[in-house]
Amino acid sequence: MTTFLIRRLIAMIATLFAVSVTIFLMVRLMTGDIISIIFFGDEAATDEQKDLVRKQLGIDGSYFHQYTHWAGRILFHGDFGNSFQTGQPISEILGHSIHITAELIVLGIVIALLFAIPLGVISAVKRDSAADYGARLTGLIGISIPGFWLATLLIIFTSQVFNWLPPLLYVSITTDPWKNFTQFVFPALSISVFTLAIVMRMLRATMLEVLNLDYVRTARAKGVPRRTVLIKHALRNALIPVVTVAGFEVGYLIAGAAVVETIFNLPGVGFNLLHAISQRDYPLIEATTLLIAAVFVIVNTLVDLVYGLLDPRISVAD
Amino acid sequence: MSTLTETWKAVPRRRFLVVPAKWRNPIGIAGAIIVAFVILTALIGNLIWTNDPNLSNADRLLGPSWAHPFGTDEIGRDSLARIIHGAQVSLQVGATATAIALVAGTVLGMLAGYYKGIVDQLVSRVIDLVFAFPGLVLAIVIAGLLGPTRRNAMIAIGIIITAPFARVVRAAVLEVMGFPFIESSRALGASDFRVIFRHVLPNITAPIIVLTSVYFSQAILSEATLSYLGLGIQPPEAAWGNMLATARQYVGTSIWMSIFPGAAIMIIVLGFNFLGDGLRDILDPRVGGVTDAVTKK
Amino acid sequence: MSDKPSESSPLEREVSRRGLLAKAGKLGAGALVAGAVAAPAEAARSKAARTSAKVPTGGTVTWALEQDPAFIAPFGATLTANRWGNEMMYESLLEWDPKLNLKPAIAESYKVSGKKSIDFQIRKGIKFSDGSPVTANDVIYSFLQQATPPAPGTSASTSQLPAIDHLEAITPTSVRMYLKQPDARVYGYLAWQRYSSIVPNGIYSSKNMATDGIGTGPFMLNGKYVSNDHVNFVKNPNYWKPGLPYLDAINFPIITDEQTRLAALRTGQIDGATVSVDGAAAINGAPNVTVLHGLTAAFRELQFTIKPGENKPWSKKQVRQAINFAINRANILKQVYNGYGQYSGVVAAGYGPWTLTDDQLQSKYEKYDLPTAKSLMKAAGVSGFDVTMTTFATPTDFAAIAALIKADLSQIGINVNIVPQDTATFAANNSAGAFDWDLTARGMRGDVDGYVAEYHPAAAIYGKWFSGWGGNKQMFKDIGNGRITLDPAKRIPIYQDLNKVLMDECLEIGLVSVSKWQVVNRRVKNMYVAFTDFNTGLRNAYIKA
Repeated sequence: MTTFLIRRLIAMIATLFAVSVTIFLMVRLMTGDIISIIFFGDEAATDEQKDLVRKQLGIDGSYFHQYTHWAGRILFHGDFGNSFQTGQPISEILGHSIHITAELIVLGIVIALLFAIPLGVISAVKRDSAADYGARLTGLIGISIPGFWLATLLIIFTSQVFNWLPPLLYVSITTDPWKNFTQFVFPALSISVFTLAIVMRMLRATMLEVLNLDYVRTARAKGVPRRTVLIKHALRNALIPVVTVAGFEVGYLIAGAAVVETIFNLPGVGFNLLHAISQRDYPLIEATTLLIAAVFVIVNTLVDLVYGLLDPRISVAD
Repeated sequence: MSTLTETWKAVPRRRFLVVPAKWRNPIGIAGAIIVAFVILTALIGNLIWTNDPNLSNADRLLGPSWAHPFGTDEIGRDSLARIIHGAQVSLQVGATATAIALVAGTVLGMLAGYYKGIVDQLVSRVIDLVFAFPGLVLAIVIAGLLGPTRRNAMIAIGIIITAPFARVVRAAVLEVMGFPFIESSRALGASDFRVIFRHVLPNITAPIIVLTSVYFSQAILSEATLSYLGLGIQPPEAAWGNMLATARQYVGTSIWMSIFPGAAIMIIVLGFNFLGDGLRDILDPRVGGVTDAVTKK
Repeated sequence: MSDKPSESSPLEREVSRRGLLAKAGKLGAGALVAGAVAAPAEAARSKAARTSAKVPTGGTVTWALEQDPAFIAPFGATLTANRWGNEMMYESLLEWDPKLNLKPAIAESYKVSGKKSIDFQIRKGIKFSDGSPVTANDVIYSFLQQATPPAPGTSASTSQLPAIDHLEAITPTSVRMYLKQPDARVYGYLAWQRYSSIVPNGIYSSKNMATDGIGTGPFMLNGKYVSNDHVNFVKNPNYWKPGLPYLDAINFPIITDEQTRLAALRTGQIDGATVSVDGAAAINGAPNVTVLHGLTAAFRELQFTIKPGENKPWSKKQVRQAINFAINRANILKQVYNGYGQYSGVVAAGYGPWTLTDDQLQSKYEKYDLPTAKSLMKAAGVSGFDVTMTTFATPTDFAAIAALIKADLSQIGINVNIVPQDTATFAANNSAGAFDWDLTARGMRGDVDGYVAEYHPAAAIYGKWFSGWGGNKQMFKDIGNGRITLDPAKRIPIYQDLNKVLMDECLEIGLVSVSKWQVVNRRVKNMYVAFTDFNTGLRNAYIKA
């Protein structure tokens, strides 16, 4: 177990290092930089003035120098630098946005699981019934509907029909939990649909498989009540792949959140990332991408661990 | 990260390419019909509906009428003609991105699974790197890096769906490599090339076909999302994603502008998903199957 | 819809004394020693004081900003949105009234004291919002920061600085500004507080100016600016204009999505916001709002590069003129802007006497005239050609105009291939001259020179855009003389002539000026759409149920 953890940790660090180099190079290869944005429409600006600003922002030396400087500050000082645009420390910007995205994603997953698990189980248990077809159809529609379209429809619907809108300015959960909930429920709903559908389909598939396995049949033959068999044996085992999928969903949800955050005006991580890309705010793009990759890698490592715990057939030492 | 492989391995498997028990698969047939309809629309739609999608020759923001069944857009172009053009764009991006992933993913997965060792390590690490970025975030960054054009959207989407392709192919190849006939043909002195094309490839076609159908829908959805975010197909060219993005400005007055392109995206994605579901039932009948576990980014 | 303040608004009265103040401004701007403008300002002040008794005071206005200000430091920013985040708390030595007439602000009076120097008398008793008096040292410090903006600002904005050499205190409440050479741009620079705010001496060392600040404006910060979220202001108790401001507070939430802003206007969650022409059309008729519109300095234009040795068809003047006459601007206004806006030359439409009138443009210089265009093409010996026109991917009106221009120019045999680019890419290519045609935009300039300087070989950008162009002596002469002529009466004719030369050369082709739309809750009175693209009207707005 310890060796496993150490190996995973090393793998994680290696992945994050690779991500940091990749993103560092990628942002610098993008056409246009903050300088071109700053000076756009300023026909009087000279090249000397532009170079001066470049120097002020620390994007004047060689890539190697820039990378080591940037990575060194993160490693030794925990300092992600300042935003080119706002001059604010990146840790401050991310600190402000991360809990918004986290709340959105957690709520999204909760909504998804709340609907997906019953739907998936019913669909599997009553295979080929009307309920099964209904659930499968719902699932297929769920993975087919574009999240941004759903969000738009939700806004049109609530504002035009009920003349009601969720609060537009972010209210933290500690200030006013109800207001906070009304603010997050629609965005969370629109990003949860895809996950809901995926998890439901996955659960249905694995449930069907597990229900056919010998030990479940044996348990059933031994007279163990149907409900107990379903929950204790079938569902527990069927949830294993579901956990894996839910891990991957975190990645999808972060991306989906970017779009939905923009539509619902929630200044989360994805919202900042999109903005930073359009403004070529290198340190902010880099830090945000690293953060997302780190969360993604950690969640998936945890998933592997949980996976091992849930399924004794798999040794985490593999 | 090898969670997918593990999922895949953990579930007892049957052989691929079991002769289909029932080709009469209502969902699959419905999908095939929808896909056929969309392809037909893209191919000959502009011969039947001859309005120019780029010509601003009517009043702006007209509602649906006989002259303009889907209304006109913000500068008086015919929306139906633009939806038809959008079908061409979506299918082209979907097909090209999927083709990139199909070829690159199969080659990489095959190399990794067949040669194992250092090749496998190398390929797997690259796949891991791609997986370390959530799919759409990577697409956003790549599209941003290369510049927002149709070609670059295809490349960006192609790259992100190459990773899951490669991973599934690698896993499938590893499994096939365990079969006795591979050992025997190698023992008989068959070249790698021959083993791969005569023995390995035919045995992994089923999951590849299913994946192709499913990722086709994902590619189309990704293109729409990128275009919606302004990182894909750029106006004035018509694409469903950017039509929807523009339409958001007009939801208060011209709701139909948001309805038709959104519905078009949903219908085509639904068609491919139905088709993929049907194909999976037929080709990969292990309920759920390997392909479902990786129908994910 | 109404684009005018209500009848009884104090703005109307304020504007009615515009003549008086304009005179004061002109006097001040004269090359000769001008009289102090204290007396009329004093009169205006007491009048405003009388007016204020009838205007209800108090209340909070919530105004949504459509773009994040990024930071609210007063110096070294280039985004207009930056100014939206701090304009309520800052002022400059001078200011503009709604018609761009010069008015005294922090400086009570000013006079030209030498060939290259101007003296400014600081207003008696004026204080910063923290209660400390404004002194010559504050002014000198502020100009130093303007010349070398500290972080988070960059030296990006310094190219907008007129030829100011240095400042010197004459007394504790008056300063002398020394110019490197006579520079007529200085008044516009001082009036347009975009770059020329006055802050307390040494404030950058005691505050994080990205999110904080102190000025002399009618409002002062309430808390700090939170990026991508909000910036809030309360009434400045020390404000120098008697009776102002009427409001107790203004909150600026940042809501980038237009549909969300419109919905919030409908539900009354916000009192006002800028919207698109179609957003305005959508909400017009809602019971609780008034829709305002007005011209701003923003206009769209078509730009070419003319490089040596390339010999592109548009290096011929006749081809450029043909393009100008083949573009149907009325159709652009109708199809893209719902019929609102104006024709524009290369100096923003509505930019006072410094540009051509709408009538001149419509009937002559920018007349849609296909036969003339065709004969010009023939005269140039060009039958047609293919060209790539790059433009902004967002906002979407650029792509829409591009599509219309493509259709227009196909009639004279020009096949335009439209390439939309994201802002950073477009900006990089534009400033490097890496394009054939750009469909681009210009915005507000502090002085008319800002619109024409690029046509003079002395401009840094000239070499990248026009190095293959033969030049035009009259144009160069006008640009040079315009900059050093301090007397407006002599200066205006120079620019009238220059505009005509520019229209003949068609080195860049002005297209249309865009109307800006703002929606306000009916309870908010006295708001107007400012030409500068700022929200200046909020300074004097009030609430009446």
